Amino acid sequence: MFRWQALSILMSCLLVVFMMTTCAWGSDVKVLEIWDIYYQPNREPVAEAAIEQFKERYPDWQVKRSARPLADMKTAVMAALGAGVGPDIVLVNNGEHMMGPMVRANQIVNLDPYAEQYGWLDELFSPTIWDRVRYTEDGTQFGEGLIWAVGLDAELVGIYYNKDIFEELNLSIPESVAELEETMQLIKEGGYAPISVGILDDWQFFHLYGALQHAALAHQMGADAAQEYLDDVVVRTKADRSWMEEGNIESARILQNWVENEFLVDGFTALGGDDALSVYLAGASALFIQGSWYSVSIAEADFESGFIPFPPMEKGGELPPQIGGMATPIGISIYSPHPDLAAEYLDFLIASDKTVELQLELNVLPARVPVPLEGIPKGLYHDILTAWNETNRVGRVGHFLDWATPTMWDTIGDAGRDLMLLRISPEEFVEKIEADYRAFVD
Amino acid sequence: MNKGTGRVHKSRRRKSAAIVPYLYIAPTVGSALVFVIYPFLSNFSFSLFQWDGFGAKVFIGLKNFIDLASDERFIRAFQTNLVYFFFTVIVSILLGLAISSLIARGRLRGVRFFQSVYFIPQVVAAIALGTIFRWIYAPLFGVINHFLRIVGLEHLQRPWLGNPETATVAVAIIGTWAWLGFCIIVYVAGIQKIDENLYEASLLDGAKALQQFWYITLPDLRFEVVVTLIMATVHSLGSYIFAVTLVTTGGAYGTRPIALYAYQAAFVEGRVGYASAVVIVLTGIIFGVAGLSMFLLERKE
Amino acid sequence: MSIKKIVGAGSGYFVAIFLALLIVIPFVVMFMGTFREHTDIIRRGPFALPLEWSLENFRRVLFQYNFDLYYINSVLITAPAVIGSLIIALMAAFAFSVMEFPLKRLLLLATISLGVMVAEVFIMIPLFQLMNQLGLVDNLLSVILPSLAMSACFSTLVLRSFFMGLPRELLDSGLVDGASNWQVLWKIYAPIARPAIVTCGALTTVWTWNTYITPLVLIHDPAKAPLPLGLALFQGQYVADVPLIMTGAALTALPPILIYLLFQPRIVWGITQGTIK
Repeated sequence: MFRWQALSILMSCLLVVFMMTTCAWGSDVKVLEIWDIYYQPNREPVAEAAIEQFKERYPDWQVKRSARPLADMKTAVMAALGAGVGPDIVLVNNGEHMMGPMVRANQIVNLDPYAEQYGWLDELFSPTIWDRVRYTEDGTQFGEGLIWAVGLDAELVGIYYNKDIFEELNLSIPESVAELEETMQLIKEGGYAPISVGILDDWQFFHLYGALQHAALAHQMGADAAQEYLDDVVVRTKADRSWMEEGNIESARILQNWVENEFLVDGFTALGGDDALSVYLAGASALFIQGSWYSVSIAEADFESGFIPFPPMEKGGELPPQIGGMATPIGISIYSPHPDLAAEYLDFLIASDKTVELQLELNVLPARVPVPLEGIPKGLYHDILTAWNETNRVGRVGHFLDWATPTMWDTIGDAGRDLMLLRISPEEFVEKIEADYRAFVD
Repeated sequence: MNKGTGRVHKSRRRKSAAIVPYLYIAPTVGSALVFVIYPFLSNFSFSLFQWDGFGAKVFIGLKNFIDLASDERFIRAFQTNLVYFFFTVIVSILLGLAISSLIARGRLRGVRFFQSVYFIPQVVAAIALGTIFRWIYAPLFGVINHFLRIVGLEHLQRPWLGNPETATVAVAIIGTWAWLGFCIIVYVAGIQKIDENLYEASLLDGAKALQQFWYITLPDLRFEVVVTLIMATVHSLGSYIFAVTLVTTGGAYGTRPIALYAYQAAFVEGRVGYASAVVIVLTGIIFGVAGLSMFLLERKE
Repeated sequence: MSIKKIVGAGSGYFVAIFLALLIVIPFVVMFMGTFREHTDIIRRGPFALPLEWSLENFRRVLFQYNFDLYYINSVLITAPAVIGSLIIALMAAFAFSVMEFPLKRLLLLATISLGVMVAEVFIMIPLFQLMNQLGLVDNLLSVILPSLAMSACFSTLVLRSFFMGLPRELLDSGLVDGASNWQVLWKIYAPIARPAIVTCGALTTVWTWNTYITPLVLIHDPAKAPLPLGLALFQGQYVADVPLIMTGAALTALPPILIYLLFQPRIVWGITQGTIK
């Protein structure tokens, strides 16, 4: 009896705490609420400028925005939408991470009508990139069908090179993988580490292997067929495709070759991604095969860097698909009372002149292509924009390999380290990936 | 005094007395129930479902546990955790016993000072310890490799966290480093409580130091050993090793312990039910070790 | 005989000092590192003395990389959790030691003892679900409440064993003087228990300050991260600058070390005696 009284006192205390914290949820009218992940210093101003534009157009509206890192925002969004509430604009990470479950649960708004209204398909990204925000209407097939989200800006993986070292050793820009290998030999003989990489972080390996693999596949099946193949095995995860392709194995073989020839910085197995950056920044290595997101740090180094897309296997070959694409995208929640306004905000955010202008100032790759290069001084950023325009012109954008399956990050990370330690053969490496892939698609 | 009012008073008093203890314990017991015990028990129900944490739960019985038995990544994490257990618990206890009997019987001055130094790793966040050791083990600019270069042992330099041979042991040694001092503090305190006459008497019987250790010191320290065993076990499997591996290797090269695998499964791969099953196995191991050692201790007594 | 004793003591000192050095060196290396520059470490190695003793790294980490916020958050989490847990633990310990009531033993074993044994890792998954249902994800309360519960359980056990050691007359004489249980607790028992309270307070402060997994799972806004989570976030942000990272580690490690050095005899007592009981 009294125990129950005590319990009920406790319970009512808890209830009060609960009420206090949930009251903050009450929804106001005329508020546009945004949950995105664009908190970095080179994205925040773009989002703020878009809010300004939105408020200019709709002076009586308020905008509430909260920005957080990806994994964190994901849990918040999934929790809110799962409970049947949510802001107007939400993070919608690609693929089965979020988009698939959200489409199936009917939690996000189809953006095709808005894409047409605002002309996004013509002015933003090349068509292959759009496939990454497509899902069939029933949410079963990624990479095809309707558009559900759109990303603020773009990323591109390529080769950073230290111009001081290139000048000192009198090297020229490699135009093929074969020339790249010759260049690396000369760099090594010149007393520098050719490539700085740190595979303690799985993603560093994905990018290095991926770049090489895309080139090898392009060489094996032709650049456009390679693009099609990559779309199928990474984005659409088609059951009739297999990872057991010569290009995948050949590129693993080349990587092992590079390890044996000591083309990678000493201790690369124990370096993290940011460690590898600092090695490059210290001028100890001549090359850094990484993404455009590092460009701001690299531009601050006390030497000048250039940037080139990853070259084809043979000189004069077609440009292979370049790993890259749009920043983690956002979409419109089905619980938004005013999706049209939310879409208008998206247009301000991603496609407006102001956005492109700011992005060029902030050294970010704009989603609106081709990027106007007049007024951009020659240099690292000019190089990256040129590569980005070229990638969009040929319409071949490669993929981050970990997208393929939920466990692929782990699988490629582990298998990649084994490969780089020369513990498994290139065939075994690809077999491990294939096993993960088959377990997922079958 | 009026008998009637007295009875009323008495019964009211008993009534209030009956509820009072529960009011005193309600906040502690209540918060423990809601924020510790209930979540803890929820693992058991979660583990019976296939569930991504947000969508619908699908009841699958014990399938998660059956899958665990053939999950290579889990088995690898289990093996790795055995290494961590060995270095954090077994090595710390054995070395601790040896060193503390050396120190305590010698009646060193400055025991206080050593005590305070040995305890420091216990109060520093595991994340900070891991951060320091990541630099110590780093390949190019790391402390150990640089030290080896200075003393002319360059051929011993290697990327300590960057290959499967050394990575797991390198991480495990952080556990020994953090726990050895603690074990010594506890054992020294224990040894100093042992009656010195016992040792004197044994000397008359002609006992050697090793025999003294075996027949006097060790039996008297069994309680201390069990305490350190349980505490170090919890750390070698739980939050401590989780944070240390996360910040040193991120789990690469087979250094991922069970706890980190549970986190990966739940919060990265979205397999909440499966991850709960992993946590239950982890809990079972810890409670098993703790229960077994307590049982052995009580039987001895 | 006496020579043997001297040799024995000598080897004891040698081992003790060697071990103390092993434990201290990583921290010394860390503190020296905070005054260096990254490229300087790569060029001159980790053991070289700093070129200048500048606090610039501390300034940058604190104000440029948000460690000032992490400090505030850590205080906002630790203070209420520790103070609240001490108050409710005193009440519970008092009841568990001097009062008789049904289910006492069961409640003590099934809630308090279990509450001490359950580590953060065991509850990280359901705790997220629970806090999500309560709408507390990304709220400091989501870290405070479990820390408060765990700290209260620990302190209850220590304080209970302290109270059990007090003579029964203390309670009875207080009650005879007409004081209520409540007054006896706060006027007589709590002041006597000060050493035990200090021990519990210092230990739970250190533990709460160092909690990492609960905030990792429940705090998503970097602006709300406590220090250990902040330190981990810091290392994932394209920062590979050893001195800055060491500065972050030093800032995270310093407060508990200071608390420990201040209350050192009580803490070691609590660990070697209190938890054993």
